Amino acid sequence: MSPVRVAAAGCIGLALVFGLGSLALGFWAEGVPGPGLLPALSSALLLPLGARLWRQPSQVGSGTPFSRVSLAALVVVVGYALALPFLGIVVPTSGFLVVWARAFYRVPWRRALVLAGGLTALAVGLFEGALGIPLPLWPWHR
Amino acid sequence: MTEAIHQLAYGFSLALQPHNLVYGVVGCLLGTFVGVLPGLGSVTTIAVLLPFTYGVGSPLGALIMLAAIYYGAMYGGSTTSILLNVPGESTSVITCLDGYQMAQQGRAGPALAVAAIGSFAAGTLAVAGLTFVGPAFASLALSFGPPEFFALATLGLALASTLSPGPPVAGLALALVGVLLGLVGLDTVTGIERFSFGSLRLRNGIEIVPMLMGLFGLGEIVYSLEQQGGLSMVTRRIGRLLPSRHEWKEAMGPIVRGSVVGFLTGLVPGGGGILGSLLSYAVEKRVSKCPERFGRGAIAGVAGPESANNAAATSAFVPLLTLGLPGNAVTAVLFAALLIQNVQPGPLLLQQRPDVFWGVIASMYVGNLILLVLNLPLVWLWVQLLRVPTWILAPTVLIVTVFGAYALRAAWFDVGTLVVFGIAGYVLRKAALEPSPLIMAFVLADILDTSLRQALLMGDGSPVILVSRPLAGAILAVTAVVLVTQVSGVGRALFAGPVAAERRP
Repeated sequence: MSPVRVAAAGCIGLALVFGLGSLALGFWAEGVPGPGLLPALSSALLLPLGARLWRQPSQVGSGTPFSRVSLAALVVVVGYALALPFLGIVVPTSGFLVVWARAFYRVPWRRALVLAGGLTALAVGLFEGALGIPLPLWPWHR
Repeated sequence: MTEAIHQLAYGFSLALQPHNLVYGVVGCLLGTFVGVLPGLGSVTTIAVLLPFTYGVGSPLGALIMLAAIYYGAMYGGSTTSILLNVPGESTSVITCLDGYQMAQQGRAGPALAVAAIGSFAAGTLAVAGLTFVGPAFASLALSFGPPEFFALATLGLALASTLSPGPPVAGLALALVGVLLGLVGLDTVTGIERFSFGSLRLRNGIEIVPMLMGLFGLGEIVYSLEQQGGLSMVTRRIGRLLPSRHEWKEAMGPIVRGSVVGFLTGLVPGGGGILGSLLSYAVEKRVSKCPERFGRGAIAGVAGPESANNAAATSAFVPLLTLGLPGNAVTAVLFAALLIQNVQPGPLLLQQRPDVFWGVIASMYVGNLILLVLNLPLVWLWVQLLRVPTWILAPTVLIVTVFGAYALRAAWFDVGTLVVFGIAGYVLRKAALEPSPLIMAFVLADILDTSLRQALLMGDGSPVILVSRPLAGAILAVTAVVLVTQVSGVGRALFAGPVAAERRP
């Protein structure tokens, strides 16, 4: 599926979800505009636009096909984000940086490990030390 | 006018306080540092650096820092455009046309200097305009009612969605998506939860900071993996920095004209930035004695658009501070930043928080000077930054965005928001669709919703009130014209023609 079609599907999906939700919220009640009015109007306008994007992707957009590299990167990022609440900041961040450097840039192991350790320490130092923002560093800090 | 000068003096007394000066300098340096990174435009830079302002003690200090980051990011973006032919955002595309050509001809120094000095001159002229136009707008805005605010917000969205790169249909669709996402959470009028699906985190709506960092930061970094090895930097020594006398003479007129064009377009919500740069380029090409040189290293092709860009960026603060309507994606972010600091931009800001209003205006004078003084001599440093390998830069930005998203509310949910919108940002990037209309609409959604419902209440349920009030009706008429001309392609041909002809692959 082309990226324009994926974007179109997202638009159509959102239009349907918000459109149906706005029915439950109500457009009008006792002479007063309801909380569902603008969502309903927006969804009603979005649906045909999304359909147009879906039907004529090549005429509407000049995108390029998805690449395996980027899709793999997104999977890695999702895995990293899912690990954070359970393992704290340090371990998943270091692991993520090693995987990122090795898998996508073919950086040698030693450099990847130095990058992971150094960047994690720098980021933690910046946020905790310089900005004073406490971070859950280890699993037992959750 | 005397009153404005007195108030400006008050603003300077605030902006020149040592701690505010430090915020300005730090903001300029940080903004340039991140803005220089290829592919990261002003919006991304501000979004990524927004967490750094959490620790600033006052709204004025935070806004000074953010405004300085903005200018620094624009300067950094023009450096990348000139040396790498990689625009960090849509407004930098115009600079690439002639700036990169100048760099390839060994004139990178004059190109960078003209961009910096033109930006400084335009910014200073625009701030002078802002000093006098701002309070006038604020007075006018006090007479605005819900129909006028609804009309202005709609015009802003129409301009933003149809003038951004990409087809107008896509821009409009993204704007509507932004409106829907912006309505998630508690309804301001009735207090009812909308589209939160029972989630406590979504009760207060989707957080804009992780959303921005995902759309513009994470999405861009993932996309950049496909571009490895594709950047060719002008590696010749920068050499002579200042333009020659002849080049100065050629640049002066475009700087002045660009400043005026940019200032006026920036006043219109949704109209600044790309419109200012495009108009300026078209104007310079029309008035030039040698129009064939445009696209081949004409200094006017850098001076005019860069000046227009900076002037528009400054005057975009007028609708933001006086009407509470962000004029572009960047001021939409600044709008969110002000709300985080508990400051409500709008017609009452001048009365309730004159320290913020005048302090920010005065800091812009100072910020422009700081940029000029710091960045020209430090050009060699920014150039070195471009040589840092991507495998170090990209993960650095990525980690900062993840940590920054968590730091907002100490909530992993926001990291999840970052990732979801990062995926969306990547998809939009691949589809060659600009996310700016989505951001603007997201920020304007509450204003649109509240003003529409209040206007309908005023009109006893009839929408006629939206067109029967002269100003609201006139603005909506302009909005309709914009939509019709842009969707039909007429407007695009008028504005984009002079630029499209010069595009190099």
